[in-house]
Amino acid sequence: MSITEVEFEARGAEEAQETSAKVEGRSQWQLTWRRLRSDKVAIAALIVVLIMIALAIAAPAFAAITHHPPNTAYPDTGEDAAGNPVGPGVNGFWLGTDGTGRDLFVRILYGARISLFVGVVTTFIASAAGVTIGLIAGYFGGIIDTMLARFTDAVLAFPYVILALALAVVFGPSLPIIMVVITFFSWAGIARIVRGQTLSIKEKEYIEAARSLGAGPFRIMFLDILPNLLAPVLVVGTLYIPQAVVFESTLSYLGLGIQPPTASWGNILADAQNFYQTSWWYVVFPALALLITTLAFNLLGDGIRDAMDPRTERVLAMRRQRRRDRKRQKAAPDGPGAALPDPVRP
Amino acid sequence: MAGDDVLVRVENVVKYFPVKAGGLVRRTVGHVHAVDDVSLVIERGKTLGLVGETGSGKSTLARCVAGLLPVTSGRVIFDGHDITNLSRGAMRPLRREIQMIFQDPYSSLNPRRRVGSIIGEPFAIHKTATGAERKRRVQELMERVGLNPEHYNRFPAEFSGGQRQRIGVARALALRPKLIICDEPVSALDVSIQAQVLNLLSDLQQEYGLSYLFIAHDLEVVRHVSDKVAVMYLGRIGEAGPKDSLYGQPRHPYTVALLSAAPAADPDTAAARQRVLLTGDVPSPISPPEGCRFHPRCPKAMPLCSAEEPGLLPRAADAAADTASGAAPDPARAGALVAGGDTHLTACHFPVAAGENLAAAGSRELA
Repeated sequence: MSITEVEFEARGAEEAQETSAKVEGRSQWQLTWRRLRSDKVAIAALIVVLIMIALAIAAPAFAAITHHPPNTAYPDTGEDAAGNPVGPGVNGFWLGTDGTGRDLFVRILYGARISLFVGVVTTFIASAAGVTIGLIAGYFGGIIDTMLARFTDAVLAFPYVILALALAVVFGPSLPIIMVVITFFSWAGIARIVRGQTLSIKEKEYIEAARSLGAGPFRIMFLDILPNLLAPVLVVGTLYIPQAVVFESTLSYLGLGIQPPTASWGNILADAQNFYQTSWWYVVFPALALLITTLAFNLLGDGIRDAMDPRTERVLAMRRQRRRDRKRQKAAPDGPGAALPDPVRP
Repeated sequence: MAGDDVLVRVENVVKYFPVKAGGLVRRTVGHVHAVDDVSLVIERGKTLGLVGETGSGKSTLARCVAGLLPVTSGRVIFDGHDITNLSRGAMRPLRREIQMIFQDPYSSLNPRRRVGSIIGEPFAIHKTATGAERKRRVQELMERVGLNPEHYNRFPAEFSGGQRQRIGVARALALRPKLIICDEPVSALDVSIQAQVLNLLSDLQQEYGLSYLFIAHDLEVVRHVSDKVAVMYLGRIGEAGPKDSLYGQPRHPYTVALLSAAPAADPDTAAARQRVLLTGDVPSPISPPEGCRFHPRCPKAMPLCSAEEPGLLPRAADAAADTASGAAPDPARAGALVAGGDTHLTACHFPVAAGENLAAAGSRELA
């Protein structure tokens, strides 16, 4: 066998390939975005999330438009003769008033500020902590891994509501305390996922290649391993935001989170308990806000996961559906004969 | 043989991996004898080929030489410095001198990093070039290995297997090393692409005076690139010598079997030759056989083979040639001399003589 001859031919083939149609290079994120864009549910969820964020940011503007600051009670216009809240649209209260005659709509928007702030910030801190701990445990292994992994398991196994209640009682309920509590119970799940991924990625040859170049452990962890982990962390993070929102509402509902008069979905719902028989809007609107927000984040998280990992069943089903549609369209003008299954690509 | 000709001297390197078992407290129940007392020499500007079947310890040995795995015992001497089990900090300057090319061009490049960043990584780690200078040097390297420098911003997934392996070569070349350890660099490639990469490696060797430790299980590939060849079996070197001598007149029965198993391109040759069929499986490296490691499968095995470990020495006719050229077949010296000089060394009590028919001797014949 003459190696040079073979090489000559191969080189020719490669050059031909080179000159043919220029392939546009696409990064992982571009591809993900393309897939996400074709997922109608995820895009709807994304729009809902963005609207929620916009409304939360614009809460003071709505307070100004309605002339109803969030913590001001209107005993004259906001309560009926019996002292009960007034319904939606009455006296310029878009969604009615609450038990003390405050504007429910404005208070829900201010509650959204707290909920989204807590959800996003705690998830961000928890992700950073979880990624760091997971990377260290997975990469170094041995005794470090054993200790960190057991600690993670312990946190995951802890009855978090009880600890949250205890902490809130000891330190007094406040925003920083509930954020600490939520963060403390969120990082462990992320750390576990990151650790597992790190264990598999660190055996890849490119990690060995980095070591053979003289890269140190932290360079390898954060420059070589971390970029490969961003996808799962992003997905899990998106799904943790609604959990944190619900957790915050739970604590506030129990009276151990955000303290009145500051509005939070949780404490609005807690107050609404006394009025649900007379004023349906008082319960329904804050509950809807909570439901829509968590649902939107969850659907968005699912969409991102499917877009990151195109092997997911849902995407495949969508693609099959699209192919069927296309085939039907093609078949229509040519009559039934053209609708035979494609032998090459069944 | 002048000492200056030797770039790497591997002396009696042993690498055991502990085998752990048990529940709560994991205890070591045995060791995988991955590399067991191997000595060899890599000469400057030359290529030492290392062949052997899967699990023979080739890759482990390569990682020990590259300092990626600590050795259990023995020494690795690089360019006059003992680099055995150096700490990462102490090893750092030597990382520039020893580089590796990996087997799988798909898993050896980080899929999330752009080619420019992958090839520029050595410059970043050793802080030898930054910014525009780094980019210029990366593009030079890309051009040198036959890649289009404009593809600087692409991801590895956008390249073919052969192109990816060129990226791996460029990365290994970035710091101008003296030694490149090629761990089966072409095993994962198409035959036509193998030739391209092999020719690239040999061009680079001439241009930069590189030394290679070339690991493969393809005998023809090793023959094509190597000056000297060592054959490994179960963590030991069975036979080592200059390429022509080893391929022309293999002495170790394992080498003979290995060579007879290699496919021949010429159908007449293929029909005429006789396959030496080995019976049984490779023994477990956790408890390798006593004496000669090959004896349970060797068609020529004698009682002596299971009792006494054969040394890696010049044998019979080779020794005669060797004494004639002035070098005494001194057993103590021979161990450290593996593949150094032109000595043909065989670790076998009863080496295969010229013209001996091994296929007829022990195993069944293949018509």
